[in-house]
Amino acid sequence: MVSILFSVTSLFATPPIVIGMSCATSGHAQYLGKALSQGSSVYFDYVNRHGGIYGRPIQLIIKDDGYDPIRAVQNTVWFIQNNVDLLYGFVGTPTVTRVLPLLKLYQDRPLYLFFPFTGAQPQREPPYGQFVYNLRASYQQETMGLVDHFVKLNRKRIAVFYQLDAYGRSGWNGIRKGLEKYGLDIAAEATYKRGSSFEASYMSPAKIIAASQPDAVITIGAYEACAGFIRDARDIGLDVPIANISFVNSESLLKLVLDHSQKTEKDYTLNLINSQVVPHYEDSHYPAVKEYQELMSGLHDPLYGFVSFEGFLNAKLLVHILKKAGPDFDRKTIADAVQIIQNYDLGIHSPITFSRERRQGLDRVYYMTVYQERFVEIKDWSQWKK
Amino acid sequence: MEKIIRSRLFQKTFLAIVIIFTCITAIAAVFFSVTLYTNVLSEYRSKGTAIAKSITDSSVELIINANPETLQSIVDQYLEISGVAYVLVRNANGEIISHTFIPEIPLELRQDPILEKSKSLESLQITSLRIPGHGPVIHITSPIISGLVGYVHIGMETRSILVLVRSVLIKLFVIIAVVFLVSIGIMWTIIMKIAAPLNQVTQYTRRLSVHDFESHSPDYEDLERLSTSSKDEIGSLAMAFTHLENQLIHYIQNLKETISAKEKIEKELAIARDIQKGILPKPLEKTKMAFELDAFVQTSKEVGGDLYDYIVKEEKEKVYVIVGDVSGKGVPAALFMAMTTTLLRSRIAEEESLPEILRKVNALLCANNDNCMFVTLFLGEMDVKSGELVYCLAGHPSPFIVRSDGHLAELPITQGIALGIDPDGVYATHTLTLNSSETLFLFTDGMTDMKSPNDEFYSVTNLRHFLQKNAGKAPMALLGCLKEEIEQYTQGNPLYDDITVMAVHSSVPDNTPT
Repeated sequence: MVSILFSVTSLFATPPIVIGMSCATSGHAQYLGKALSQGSSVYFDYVNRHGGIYGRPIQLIIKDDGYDPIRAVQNTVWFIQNNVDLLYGFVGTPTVTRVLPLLKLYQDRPLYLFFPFTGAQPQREPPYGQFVYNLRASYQQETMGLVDHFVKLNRKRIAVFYQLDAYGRSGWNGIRKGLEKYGLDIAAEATYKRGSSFEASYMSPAKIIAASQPDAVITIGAYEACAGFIRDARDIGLDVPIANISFVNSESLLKLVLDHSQKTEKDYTLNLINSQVVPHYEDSHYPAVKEYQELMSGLHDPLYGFVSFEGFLNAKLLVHILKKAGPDFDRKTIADAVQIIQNYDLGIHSPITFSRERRQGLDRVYYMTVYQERFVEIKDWSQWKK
Repeated sequence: MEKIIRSRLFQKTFLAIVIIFTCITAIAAVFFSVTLYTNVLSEYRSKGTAIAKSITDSSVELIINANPETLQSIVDQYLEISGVAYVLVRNANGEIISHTFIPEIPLELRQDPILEKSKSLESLQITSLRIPGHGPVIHITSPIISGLVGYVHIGMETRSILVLVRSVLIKLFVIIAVVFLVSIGIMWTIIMKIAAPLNQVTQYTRRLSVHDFESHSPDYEDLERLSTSSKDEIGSLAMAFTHLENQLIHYIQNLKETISAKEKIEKELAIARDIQKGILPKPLEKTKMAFELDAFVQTSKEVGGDLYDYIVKEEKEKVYVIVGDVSGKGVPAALFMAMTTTLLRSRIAEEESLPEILRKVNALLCANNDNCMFVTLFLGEMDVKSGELVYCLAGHPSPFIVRSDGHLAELPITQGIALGIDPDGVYATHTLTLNSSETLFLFTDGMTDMKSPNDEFYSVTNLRHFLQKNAGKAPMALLGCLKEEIEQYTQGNPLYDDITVMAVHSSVPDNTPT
């Protein structure tokens, strides 16, 4: 399925800047694709309404890959064949890691992928790092940050529950590396199959992990499986902090956990921690949040959350780069335009700098927990001190 | 349909097909299973080896560059290949950096069984393992640059080969079952084709058994059509039956005609018998003359060639007695007998001498006697008053004189052969005198030639014994006992020849001094 964001572009006489986005808009990971593309689209629309980029409208072509690596590759081939100007906002580690060789294959065009929604390492490192620009912090940064906090809290036996694919492996590797710094090893690990539902049983991995008597558990997965794991882990009495990372889709996870809490009259939101790569989307002391909230409020069905806020920030940075590229923008000049970005603040008080070596805009990780059924930023970790 | 199922033909054919198919299925199942399992196992080894080498080649840089995500991405792709149970990659330190197990790596693989035995591997090694959740697997360990970078382990699930073999066997069984059902269908059709005409023939024969054969049976035309339409054994059978029916109709018609003709003849013979009976004299009425006489004839057929007669001439106190036996039997003999009797009666009426009577009768019988028939004859003329008996034996067995004391005497033979042979025959007489103690017993050779059930002739000897035993009895009593003797001796069996006997008793006092 292809959806083309072109609502106001017909007003323009100049050719559009065509952006290809492959993400899940169907299947169990559809929220991620929908929220990310909505956050981006709301800003692209805003830019298009205000004259586009030097008169050229931004045309965002969204193709559904259902979080399936093979479909993601097929979509990318389609984008290449249809001569898009750049790839943008691909969602998922297993999908993006499969697409990366295509970028290398077409390096003569060249074809860059901007701000994929994954914190995996392959697009940050050789040989594919040179074809990708990231905004968000990596999973390694998220997981290592979590490990740092837990170790500081004297929670050294850290177990990991992860999705058995490139995404899960990326998070697993981050945790492993994080622990390695302290001479520690993963206390226990258990996997699940990508696409598993909340209704499935996670007793088996929960028991494997509980058997190791961990001090904390980090999950690297999608919201349904992670919520299911939290449910089953708590049900067998594992009450240690369980941390999820940004890709989990915090809002959906929280909704499942809250619904289950309501059904069973047991609080499953206790000791939940979520790392995020963007500030809280309701933290209005950030100018970008205000802008985001204002534009999103104009939508009929806004998907407020960390994901759509990240999409918004991605779009805002891309527009800034395109503007820097000047009116004669083409695929070859955009890399130079990215290098121009120095200490640029998107409105979240985190300056962004790109260079030939630095291809990731943000490094900061934000940690949230559930308070009164909402995610709030953690100000004090001492409650989890062991 | 039920008839077909119950038919022995169907049951036997069905049994044969079941046995054939069972054998084919068993042989095919064993052959396919073994061949398929062996080939697929070999292919799995080959495939597993190729995958292990492929991952080994592509994972060098990924491991060196510490890029487990891409490695996992590659590993995940291989899991989609059928038969691959698991993929596991270790780094040089032996740490598992990528795998495909959910929810955890089995204990059996946390330490590699091959590496445990041999700390370093130069080349790819294959072993067999049993992994919980996967069953028996072909475990392949491939060193990455002689193990300096790490190792790739591939598990090929042999259980899936069994599943494949099972699915192939199920397909094979389905195909054989379909072929079996088709065969049964074909067999059904063939049996129907064979059984239907067989049933037709069977039904035909059942109806044929109660058919009257006056005309063709109702199913004749159907069977005739079958005999022409079926060119096989059934057609031949049908043809044989129609031929049989035709023959039976023909024979039965002949039989009916024969029976009818026989009935007609029997009817005519009955009339002839009545006529012959009429020719024989009626029982002797009471007469003033002093003599007793009784006679009977028992014919072996409806009509006979024996004759007896007596002619009483009261005014001359004479009685003529005749006993004869015509050659042959049946109607010709009866006609000859009738002719002889008539001729004798007519000649006796002329009161000629006995030799003259016989000469004339003989001459008449010889004339136009194309069939060369003849008659032996006793002709006697008895003077009742004196007891003098003049007789002539024309080729006839000598009668007995039975005395009351049991003494038997044969009458002397006289000159002259049987009548009807020699037209110039000459007949002489002999004379004797009978008294009251003597009974003249006349008989034909049928008496001595009658047979017992054991095929034994009665013979003159038995007759003599009988007469001696019953000597002194009056003629009627004597012949009554003789009838019983005949019945007893023959046990009711048909007579071989006509029997005629006559007993004559004179009342002339016996003047023989005692």
